[in-house]
Amino acid sequence: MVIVFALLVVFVGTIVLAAWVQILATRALASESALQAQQRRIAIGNGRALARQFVLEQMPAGAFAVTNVSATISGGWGGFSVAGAPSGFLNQINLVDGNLYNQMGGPGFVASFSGSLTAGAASEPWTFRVRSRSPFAGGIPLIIHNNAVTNILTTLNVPRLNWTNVVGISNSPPIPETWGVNVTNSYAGYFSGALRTNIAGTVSFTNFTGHTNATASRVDLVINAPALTGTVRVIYANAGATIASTSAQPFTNNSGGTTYTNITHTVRFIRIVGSASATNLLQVVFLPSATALPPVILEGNNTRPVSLYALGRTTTLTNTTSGADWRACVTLSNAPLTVNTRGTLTMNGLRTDSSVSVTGTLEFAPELERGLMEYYSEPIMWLEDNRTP
Amino acid sequence: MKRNGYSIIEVLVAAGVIALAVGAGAVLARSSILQADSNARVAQAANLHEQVATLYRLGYDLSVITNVLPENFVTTTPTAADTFRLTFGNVTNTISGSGSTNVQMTNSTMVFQSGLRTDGSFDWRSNSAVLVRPTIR
Repeated sequence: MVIVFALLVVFVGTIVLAAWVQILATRALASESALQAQQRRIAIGNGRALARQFVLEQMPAGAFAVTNVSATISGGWGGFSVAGAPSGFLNQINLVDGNLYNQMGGPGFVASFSGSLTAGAASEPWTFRVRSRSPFAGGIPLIIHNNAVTNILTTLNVPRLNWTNVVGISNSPPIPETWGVNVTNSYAGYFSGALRTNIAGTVSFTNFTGHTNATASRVDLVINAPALTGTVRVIYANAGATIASTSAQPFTNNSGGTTYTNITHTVRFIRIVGSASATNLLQVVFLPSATALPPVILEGNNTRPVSLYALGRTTTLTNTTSGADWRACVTLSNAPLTVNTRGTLTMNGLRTDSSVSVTGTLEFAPELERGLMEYYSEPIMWLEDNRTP
Repeated sequence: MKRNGYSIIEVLVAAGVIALAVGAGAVLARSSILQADSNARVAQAANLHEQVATLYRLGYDLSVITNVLPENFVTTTPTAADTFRLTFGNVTNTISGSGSTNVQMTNSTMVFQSGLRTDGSFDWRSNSAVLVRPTIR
């Protein structure tokens, strides 16, 4: 009886000891597993970092052309691959894809494409979303990025974003620096930087300068929106040499019919003739110069989408028709603007980081065609990603 | 006359067996305690290294990272518990794939105290990781 009891004790004790040893071994393995999991998470993070760099760096604005991109870090420390990506990504407006609660809020431009992240020998299917958004795209027609705006309108009642303490606009929150714009140090302490737009269409003319064939001593430069077919970009600079094209000139003198490829004389006005039928975007770009821009005149009414972009040019703007409805979004970067309206002038949007002074009545109606926002907005984008479910 | 009970020999043998069992248990218990301590240190170091990776990807420099994290970082091999030595290797700027791009890549190494040896001395361990961060952050 005693020996049986002793054997039973030994038997149970052996089982307990064996279990204990097994527990010890498992606990030892647990820490090694934790290290492996940590390395895997770091490798996945490395792959995401690579993807971000490759995708955003190699994606020119408005012409996304990344195909079969991949990169791998040696030692199994991560990698990624993207099979292909759609072109013209900023044309895509997707209301449901991805995170609606992004830094811009609400829908924006989204391009979704598939790829994978690797960590060691493992490969995880991954979905990438390139996104961009401008306040313009949110139906906000007036965007003021600093407090240099004066006397824009005391009765302005449109959705707007503006820096605080703008004369005539009070109790408005500052624009966060995370809005779709670049931030530099031009205005210390808060938002600044060159506002930009995306490039539209083909370059129809460059450097309207160095002109030699004009017959008048003072001419008007006329940008004839009805005569310009297709999506066109017109670039006006005050210092240059030639006009790239010699056909289909949009620039005429102030009497109308004659067109010029080269004009040496002083430009008195820049007249943009409105169109009642054209539907393609007309983008007019005023490049920087030491001299002020000749006064810009908006003639008649205009239903053609027009993007006016001035960089580093003091600008004056007026309209010829009282109560003009002019479909245009204006972006002014370091370009002080004076507006003298004849009656009421209604445009679609104004985005500026410079001073604006308005005499008369300037009103805004948000641009509703979202496809145009690509050319009014900043070429700023960010990348969202998640493991493909 | 026969008496009931165990002889002194039997008692001594039984006591010896019990002593062996208790001794083995004690050794196992010590190993278990040391292992638990080591596991905790390794887990702490792994988590800390992962936080280092996160801060690195956010754009922080090494000196800032070691200042931001609450742990005690030293520049030499740690001589006390709960101290860590973190070093970054040279930064490589280019990664080649389908095309090349500029990223920042470095090899980070963390040396930490992984526990006590059975002789009472400290055991050290290092954990290395390659960290990559984009220049577009």
